[in-house]
Amino acid sequence: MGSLILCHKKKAKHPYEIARVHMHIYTIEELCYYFCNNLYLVDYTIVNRKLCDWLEEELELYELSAELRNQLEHSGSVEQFLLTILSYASIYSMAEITKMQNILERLRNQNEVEREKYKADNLLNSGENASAILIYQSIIHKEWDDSVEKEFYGRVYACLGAAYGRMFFYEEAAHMYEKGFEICREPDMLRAYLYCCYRYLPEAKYVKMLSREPVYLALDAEFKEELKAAERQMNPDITDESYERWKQEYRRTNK
Amino acid sequence: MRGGSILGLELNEEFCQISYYDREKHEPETLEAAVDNYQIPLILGYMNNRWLYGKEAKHLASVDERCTISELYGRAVRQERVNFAGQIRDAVWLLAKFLRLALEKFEQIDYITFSVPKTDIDISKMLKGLGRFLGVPKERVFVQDFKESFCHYMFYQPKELWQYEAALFYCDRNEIRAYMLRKLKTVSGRGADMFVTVDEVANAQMKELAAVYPVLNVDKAKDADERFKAFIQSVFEKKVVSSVFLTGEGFENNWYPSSLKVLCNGRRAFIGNNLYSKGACYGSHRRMSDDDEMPVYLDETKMMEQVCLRMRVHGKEGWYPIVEWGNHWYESDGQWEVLLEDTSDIEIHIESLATGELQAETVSLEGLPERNDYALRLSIETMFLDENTCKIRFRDIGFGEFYPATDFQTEKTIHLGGSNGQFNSLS
Repeated sequence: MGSLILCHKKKAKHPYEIARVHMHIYTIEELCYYFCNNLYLVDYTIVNRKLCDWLEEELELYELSAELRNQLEHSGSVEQFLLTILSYASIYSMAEITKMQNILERLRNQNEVEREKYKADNLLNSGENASAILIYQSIIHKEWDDSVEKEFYGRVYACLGAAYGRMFFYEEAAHMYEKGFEICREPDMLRAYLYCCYRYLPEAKYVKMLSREPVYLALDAEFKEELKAAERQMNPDITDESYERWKQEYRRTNK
Repeated sequence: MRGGSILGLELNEEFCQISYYDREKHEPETLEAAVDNYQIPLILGYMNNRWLYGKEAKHLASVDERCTISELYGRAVRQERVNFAGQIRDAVWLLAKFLRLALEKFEQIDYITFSVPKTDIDISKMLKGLGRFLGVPKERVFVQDFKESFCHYMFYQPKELWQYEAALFYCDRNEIRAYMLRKLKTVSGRGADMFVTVDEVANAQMKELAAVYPVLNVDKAKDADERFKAFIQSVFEKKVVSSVFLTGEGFENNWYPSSLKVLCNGRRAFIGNNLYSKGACYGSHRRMSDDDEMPVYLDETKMMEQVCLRMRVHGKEGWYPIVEWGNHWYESDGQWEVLLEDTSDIEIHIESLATGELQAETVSLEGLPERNDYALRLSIETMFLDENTCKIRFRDIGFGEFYPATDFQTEKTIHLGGSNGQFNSLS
């Protein structure tokens, strides 16, 4: 039998805006959901007094907000702040909270650049392409950390390529994939590079480029076949709702 | 601790009395209408474009009765329309006007409980409407009769005062009534849960009371005292009574010295005229604190069945009542929001206090969308169509901006035994 969890009664009249992902939160359940699904994104942009004030004024959680303020005043950790909220909300079982605690622990032990990349990856997955690009760029533009493998930076370039690609900046995306491939030599990166070139280069230039390397020709044939297959599967009758959703998505992610 | 006021109001034909919860003293205080007088005359006045209420309106009535209107509660219950202050007005509106004036000093009211001589579906609806008019959310407005108010008052007194039975004597200018608070034995093994009721065990019309109230006739008072003593002895016969409470204007003059000896014999006795409003205020406080350790008050009008769902509340897993016994069916509509751990069927338990039976029903959630963990949020609503039929609706309400609501909705109709005759099966 399904088990139910009683929600807290109070809903905010004025939502809390999570700046990183441009989302509005109305309840403590939504706040916990955001935390648990975006552990890598939890930082000073949400662990702050503004959130404490919101919990007090909008959700009337006086004891919780007082406890959180106290933690902030005594320079408590982000993990402690987050776990206090999760424990108070009583949505998740002890086992689940322990699991999250372990992830947070692992995160804390990670190298700073790795932590930043995770954060950017999460932003990219939530469609926050521009914010993700800024973090990826900051990683590759500052002095490279010798304690991580070179391939790590290659993957950051590839992620940058993906983020540009999602914004339809194929030329920039191609350059990033190319740099990523130079370091990692991964065939997937090369394929992505070729696809981006196919999108932004005039046809003649693209064909000329293909002739430079025999492997390019093979890959080109491969992804064109895949494109055709995808087109065959696509439903040409797109509903108004889908258009509307895409438009909203596009506007949101290109703010 | 923050928040607005927690109030209890007694309303009767002549007076209104207001008790409010003092958060520092942790007990109710009663508003004084005058020194040592808690009764606010239930009269409204209108003169020179100004509304008056209570004592001021009573003074106005002594000057020009046409400018005032009394019997506001009775008129509102009878849904009268009256010509007052130059207009035909609903008596309910006039009562609402009175209450708004009387409660002016309470800026924000969080909980309000009305204590009235008797209650039914119409009175409950009318008073809940008044509560909303005063700005209190409907789920925080409660209505109870004097007997239940006595009970709520007692729950907050030291346990030894109601270890056995507790007696309440009410006296006005015509009669004396005796009530007993006692524990009930239920069929179902409800563990530590305690159920109590208040019975009217005796009443007597006493012509002798005319000699003691409102003006004490010392010569004739002795007869009333003797009559009252005999009445008490008959009420207490074969009973173990832990405490006695005297209330009502009839006890104001100290005309019962020899009865008092019987009353206080081996027990403590208390006198006061704000027991019902304080009991109402305690009722508000209890509902606010959601204390499920307290005894449940039952009478023949209350539900003897409980509908429960398996739920995690404040981290504790258990069967949580969405329809509670001890409530009136017409006050049992409610709404909750829950998160689902998975989309398998929901089990509903219906427990009967009278028979001890437990009936199980299941609700299929087929058709619910798949979402990430803890992102499926349902609204559960209970709606009573009559005292035997409760409809429970489960509706997907989405999860904020993460997931929009879908049109998923399912209903289950639960058939209950109603209150008819079931209460009498308890002893």
